[in-house]
Amino acid sequence: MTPLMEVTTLRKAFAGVVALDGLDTRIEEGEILGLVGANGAGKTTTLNVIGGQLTPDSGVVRLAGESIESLPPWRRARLGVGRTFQDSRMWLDLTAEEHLRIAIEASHGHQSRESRPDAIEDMRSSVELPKQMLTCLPSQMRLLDRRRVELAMAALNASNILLIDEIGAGLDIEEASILYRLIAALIGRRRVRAAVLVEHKLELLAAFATVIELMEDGKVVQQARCDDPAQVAHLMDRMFDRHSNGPLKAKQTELVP
Amino acid sequence: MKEIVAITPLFSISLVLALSCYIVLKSGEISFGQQAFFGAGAYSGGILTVMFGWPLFPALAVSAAVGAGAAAVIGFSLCRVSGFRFTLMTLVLGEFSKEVFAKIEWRRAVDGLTAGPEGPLGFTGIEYYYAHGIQHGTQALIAAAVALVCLIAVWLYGRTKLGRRLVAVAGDPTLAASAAINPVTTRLQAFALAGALAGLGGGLFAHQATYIEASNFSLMVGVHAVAYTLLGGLASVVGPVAGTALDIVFLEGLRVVGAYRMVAFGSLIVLMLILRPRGLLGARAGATS
Repeated sequence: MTPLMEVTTLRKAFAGVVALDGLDTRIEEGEILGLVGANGAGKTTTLNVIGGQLTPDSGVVRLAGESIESLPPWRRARLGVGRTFQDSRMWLDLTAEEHLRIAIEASHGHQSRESRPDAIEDMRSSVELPKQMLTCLPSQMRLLDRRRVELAMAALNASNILLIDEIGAGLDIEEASILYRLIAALIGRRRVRAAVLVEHKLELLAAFATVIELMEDGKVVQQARCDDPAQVAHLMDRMFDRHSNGPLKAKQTELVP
Repeated sequence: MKEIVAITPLFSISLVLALSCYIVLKSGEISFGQQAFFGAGAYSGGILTVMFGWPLFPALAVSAAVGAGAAAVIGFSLCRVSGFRFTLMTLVLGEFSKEVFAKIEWRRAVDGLTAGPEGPLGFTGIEYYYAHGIQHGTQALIAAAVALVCLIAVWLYGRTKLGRRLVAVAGDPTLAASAAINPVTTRLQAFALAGALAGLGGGLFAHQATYIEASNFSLMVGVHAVAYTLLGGLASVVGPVAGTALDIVFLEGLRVVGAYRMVAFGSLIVLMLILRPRGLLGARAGATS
């Protein structure tokens, strides 16, 4: 069976700096894939290459068997790739309701004339955005509610796959876990078929993800299935070993003969 | 009353061109080249009524179509760039088309006399109003009606799906694309609409002025049209109306200071930009960034 999404030997370099160096990964229907790794390991670049914000230098991105790596982002969004960004991105001069309306109009295109108020209400409740927030501008909303709107917009386009880049950044762990619970619920209710999450809060991933992959220097170096605590612990060991004192240790051993 | 009749055509034509700039500004770009479509509309409208005996309104419709068509063709490449590059390209477009207008030479025998544009000598005898005995009052009414129709059209556009998409693309093209909006198509549609408005305004202008030449479509025409809109603000279509009114009232009113008129006008704009950087009526954030 073809996986929902498959990424093979992706390479991407920026002016000689290699961001992705032969990345391979795949995600099955119903899964939540967590990407972890140090800054610069290539996590956001991975999402950008899947979402179409960047075009890979080489490699293939397949969505349900179709290769999509050369499509512009808006085409991928129509195919069901939804994206949220690390820095909260909203239109400063539009209300929450207008955000949802634009996303609905763009994703349905001209094919359906389903009742708009219902569609907006449906989106609003799927991310548990308080009703009174609908008429607010982004500047009048707290970060958690802005993130809810961004998630709703991404989930609307993502009948296939959600790409979530550190949605918990700037939020405390309780608030962040609200968002993760919403994502899990979207998948549980088949509103979204799978999600790729970039997150620094490992305990959140351990609680919500199906699989965690550790990235180093632009490729996946270790994988852990979250239903096996030993695998997760092992992955954490490697991550913290390498990024707290690993490189230092290595250097010391090189210096001392 | 006489003054109102005298100033209405100038106000209406300026407003239509300002609305053209308003749409481009709403797409997040600054165009100093709308006078190119204005000129294209002026020449095509004039050619149709003078050389082929067309009635005014069908000729104006063609003016608008020529403006839209030209904008769509140019927009095909133009709408793929943004910011400084976009503005620079429109600047080049404006200057280039001014040269083209000076080269349009097409003479045709009409009622025993030759008529039509004569290249650098301009295009004389666009006397539809005179030939059909249309008085100043009616001329003013026609101009005002066309401007009103344009104003309503632009207002309606802002309330459609396309208008919302334009605001989304202008505000954050990356976010818009991730919400399944094609930024290039969205901006191209807006640019073609802006071209149609400029063309229509040009058609009106040719018949009002009765004589046009390349220098009527100089850079300053485009710059002024952008200035009207920015003066008024981008919050709604009322912005260009207020800006145009302010500009025309001051520009005409400042004739008392003679040769210092433009100096005074320039100072006024600088003052406005300091005191009301978002225009007379303000604009919601993100519209011009």
